[in-house]
Amino acid sequence: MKHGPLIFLGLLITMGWSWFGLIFTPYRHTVAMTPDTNQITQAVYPFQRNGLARKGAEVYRANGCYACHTQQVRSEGQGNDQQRGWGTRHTVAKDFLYEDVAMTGSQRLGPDLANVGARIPDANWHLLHLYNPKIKVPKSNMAPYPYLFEKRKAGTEASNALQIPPAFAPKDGSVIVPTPEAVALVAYLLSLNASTPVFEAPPKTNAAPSINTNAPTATLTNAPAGASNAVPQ
Amino acid sequence: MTVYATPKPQPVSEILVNPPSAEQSDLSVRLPVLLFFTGAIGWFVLGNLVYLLSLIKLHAPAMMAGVPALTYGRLVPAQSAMLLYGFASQAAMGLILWMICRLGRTLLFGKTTLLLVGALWNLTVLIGVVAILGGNLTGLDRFDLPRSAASFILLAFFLYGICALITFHRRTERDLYPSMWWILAAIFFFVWVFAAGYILLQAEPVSGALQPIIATWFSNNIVALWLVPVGAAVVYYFLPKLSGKPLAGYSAAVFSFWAWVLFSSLTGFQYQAAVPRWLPALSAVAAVLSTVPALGMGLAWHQTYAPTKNSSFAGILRMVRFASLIFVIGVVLAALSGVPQTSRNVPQFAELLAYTLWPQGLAQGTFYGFFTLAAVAAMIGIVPTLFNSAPSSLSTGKAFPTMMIAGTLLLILPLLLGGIVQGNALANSSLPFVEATRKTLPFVGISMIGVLILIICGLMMLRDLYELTRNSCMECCGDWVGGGSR
Amino acid sequence: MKPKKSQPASKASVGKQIQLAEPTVSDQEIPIWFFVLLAILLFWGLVYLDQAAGGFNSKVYPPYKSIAAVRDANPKSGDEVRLARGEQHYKTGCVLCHQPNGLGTPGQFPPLAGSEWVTGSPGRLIRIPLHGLAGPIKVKGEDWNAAMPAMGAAFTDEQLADLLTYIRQTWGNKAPAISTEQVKAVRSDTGSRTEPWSAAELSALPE
Repeated sequence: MKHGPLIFLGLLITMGWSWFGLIFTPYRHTVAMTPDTNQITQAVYPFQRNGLARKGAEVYRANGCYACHTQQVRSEGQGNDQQRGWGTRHTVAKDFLYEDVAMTGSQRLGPDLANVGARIPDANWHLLHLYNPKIKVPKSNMAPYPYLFEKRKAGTEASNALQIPPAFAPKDGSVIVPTPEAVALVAYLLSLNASTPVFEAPPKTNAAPSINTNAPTATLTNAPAGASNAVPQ
Repeated sequence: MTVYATPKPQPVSEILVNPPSAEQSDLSVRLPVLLFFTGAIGWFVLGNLVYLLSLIKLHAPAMMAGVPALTYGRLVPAQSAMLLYGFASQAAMGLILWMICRLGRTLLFGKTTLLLVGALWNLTVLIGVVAILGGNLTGLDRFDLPRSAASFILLAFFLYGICALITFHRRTERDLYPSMWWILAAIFFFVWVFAAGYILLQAEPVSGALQPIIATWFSNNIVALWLVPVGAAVVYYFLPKLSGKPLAGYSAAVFSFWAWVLFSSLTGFQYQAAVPRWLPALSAVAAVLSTVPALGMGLAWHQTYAPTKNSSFAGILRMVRFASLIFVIGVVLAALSGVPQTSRNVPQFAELLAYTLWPQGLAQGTFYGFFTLAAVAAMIGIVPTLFNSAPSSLSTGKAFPTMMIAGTLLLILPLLLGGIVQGNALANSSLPFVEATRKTLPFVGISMIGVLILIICGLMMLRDLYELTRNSCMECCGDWVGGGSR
Repeated sequence: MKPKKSQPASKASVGKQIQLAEPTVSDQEIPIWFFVLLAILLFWGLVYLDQAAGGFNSKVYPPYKSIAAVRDANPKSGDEVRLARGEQHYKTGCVLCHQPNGLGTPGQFPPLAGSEWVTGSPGRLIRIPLHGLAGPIKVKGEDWNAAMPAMGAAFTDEQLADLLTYIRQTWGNKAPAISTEQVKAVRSDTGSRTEPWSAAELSALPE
């Protein structure tokens, strides 16, 4: 091959083929994507996050949580994501329709978080876990995030002070209070719930495990199968 | 080491009449290439230090937990930016300029512009990394630089590309050696891939539903179409040259080139679940098809190789050859482990390894095992010639090449093995999740040793560079900032 | 680039910088196995895409293999939607006692699967959730005696109709659907009633 311009043309064609196939075509498919209105429950999904949860997404991004946590659940034939209670259906592109940044992640050094708001709907659990993950998951390898919390003098009155178990509480009796970032981040985590069926991932009609906390047989946790009352891990 | 008197630079107007010699070409590219290489090696050391720190934090999560800038989630994008943009891209840019001038037998165009580009690039990466550590993360893999930094990178590369292409256009050797095709591809693709990523993900972000697709496309192509072509150009150049034999097979080289750019641009989606299933399926097929050009290149390189008659370059040849091996093995492994099954309801190989250390190991295999080894080999060969000096101890000795290869293997192999162990643990529903993560720690520990060895190699290269600069200055002016005499 | 004859590596004189000749290419035929391998892999690739790519439709995600399969799996309008809705209501109000499999709790709450009360007269069935049930009752030959509150009182006519249709057509039960009008009629007939029904009262009603 002697001629630069010919090579250039060839490169243009090959780049065009990749760009057209993988970028333009999906773009055309998503440009008309609208939220689903569920025929059964009449719920509209997905929904735009409210202010605090949206700020929380920024905190999630600013601390690189996506470096260890994914937000993509696979179907049952592909892995045991659903058996671990991480979701009731395969993640679809529509789940990220209203995200500012779709942080799907690519590593599972920590569990998948796509449905963590449904799995662990307790704000205090998340606050304590962020302050020191070992409080909630004794063998956790996750780093603590003390800078998301404020330390106040012992004896200070604070309505939102964390109730830390004595083994992990500060030795000097300081009172730990979450900063606005921590509160926003927890609001974001609680908003992570992608269990609503959509057209691409319809409900399974027979004995589908539901993420509804009222259903007593739901496998809510990613604890080993069969230990339905175990602490979520 | 001995430095010899520099030849006088040749006027550009003469090149058509009197094609420049190798020394003349080297002289014309000297300053920009040295700037790029120094920046590259510097960021190599810094980036790997941050990488090492992040691996340490996996073992001791509570260490320095109160410092937001050092949290694991920020160290990962920081080291990725430092290594991809600071080290790899600058090394690639320097290597491209040098090879265009050598293979095209021409003189560099736009030296001053390129020096500005180099300065701008390093400054941008520095500001970008500081911003990342301060919390300005993109949320996307390998597109780590914040928006403002990314715009400067694009601008800098535009200027660079223009200078490089004008230099190419002015070549006196009209026949194009295979490395030149790969270089053209690299320059062209970087602009397109980076611009698409920048515009669609940062400047005018597309809907969140489309972002996983574009982010995956970007992170795959910035390696497959920017770093791999430059690595291939380096191997195509140095392997025949140092072996003293012609490259085996022109047609095979043409075929491999087009097949690679055609197929590898479609890969990358194998482990991505938030996309319609045709994308992982297409990626799986493309990854399998990519093995054909990879095997073609590997075979040609294998047939071309011969132990060098010149022992000064034995180390470089070893590293280049090793890099070529790792490249082929990496592509084949990626193909084998990237095909999701369709018939059975039990997860197979690809599903077991998703989201574990295995894909990370494969990515590091291409980055460290192929590109870094090839680029470093080329750099330690080129830098002394730029100073008009005899080959350095790094290439004549056995220690440096052995350390580079050992460090690279110690980095990559534990990640792959750890990924398999982690995947099996995750697939075992009765095993709590935390156990799967804990099982990876010993493997990460061995990887750390590899990173440490590479840091030492980087420091050795910096020291070599310093000595060459010092000797060159002394030779020329009889004086040196650090004192001493001729 | 036209392949050139190979040139030996030239060494400059001893002591000087070593310059080797630039690399050249030889004219070697491309081995045929390249194209054979490519053809085989292309063939495999096309077969694989046929199975795994879901027809290149962007609405197909695993485990579905085609857009037709996705459409099939979605509740269709009409009866299927009614059943799906009824199942949702069941999960809200009935599943705690009667269990998702409709088998109830032995010793406490009677089963709905195979129960003659469920598959029998609509009038009797509708009254039970509307006002509750108290006292002994025989279900499938067994004696039960648990108080059931008026779990269905809060549902609208349509919701209760869907719910009762669901329990009448699941777990092996095969009985005609209940319509909104039927529920409405029963509600207006028994509007003023507040006490739960007894089995005897229900059995006294016409079929």
